[in-house]
Amino acid sequence: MKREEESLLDRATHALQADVPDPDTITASAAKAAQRLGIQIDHEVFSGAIRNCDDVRQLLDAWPLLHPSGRWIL
Amino acid sequence: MKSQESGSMSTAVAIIPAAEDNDRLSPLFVEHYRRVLMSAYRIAGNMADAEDVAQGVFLRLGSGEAAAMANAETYLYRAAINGALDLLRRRKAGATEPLECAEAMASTEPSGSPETAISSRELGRHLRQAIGELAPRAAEIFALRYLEEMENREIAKLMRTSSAVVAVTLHQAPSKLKKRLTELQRGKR
Repeated sequence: MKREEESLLDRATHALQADVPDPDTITASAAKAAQRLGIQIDHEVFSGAIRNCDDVRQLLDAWPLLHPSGRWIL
Repeated sequence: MKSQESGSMSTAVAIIPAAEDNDRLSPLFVEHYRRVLMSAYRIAGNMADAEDVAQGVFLRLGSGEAAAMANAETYLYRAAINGALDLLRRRKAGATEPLECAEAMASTEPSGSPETAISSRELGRHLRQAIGELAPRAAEIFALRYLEEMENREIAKLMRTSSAVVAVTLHQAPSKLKKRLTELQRGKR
């Protein structure tokens, strides 16, 4: 029972970690927010390019849900 | 501060910080908006709420409310998480999420079976609800540790508390979440 609860929390936590909007949505959101805040931005920055370790981590987290078989290409 | 805000965050049309605020805000926005939005989105569970939270965070930073804070980055992520947690708490128990959630499910899990996708989405929704029912500080610590994947000592520094307090919270909060998740999975509201 305890192990079942443990697994449930692990799966739920992983589901939230992997729940990321697609790059186009982020780009559109950034453009909208920048406009509302009166900020000039280069939209390329938000196009989903991998810019730092956080971006890589988010992609890794999303992988098992995108590919439930769990098989890695690399 | 010369910013103007009209109405709630979701109905405001133009919120324009003064030019001098803009110069300071632009690099922070470019560097952090994406992650701030993601942090808010994971907890809020939908893009409309996450955007409201993220924009509010940058607006307050630009307005000078948080200007005195030495570390803007620290402010941004904590504010995003707390803003989204506030939304969770305000959300009525059992309320349905916006339709966009179903679309997001379809777009993020294209190769999964429908059962897997629904199960994952449902689990996430239950965890959000359970996190929203935790004490505010415990919810924030849990989110920083398990959603933002920060180390205990980083969380302690960020929240100006001891690592021992963080450790104890991270022992208690998951226990409560496990129980609540089990209840929610069995249909208890």
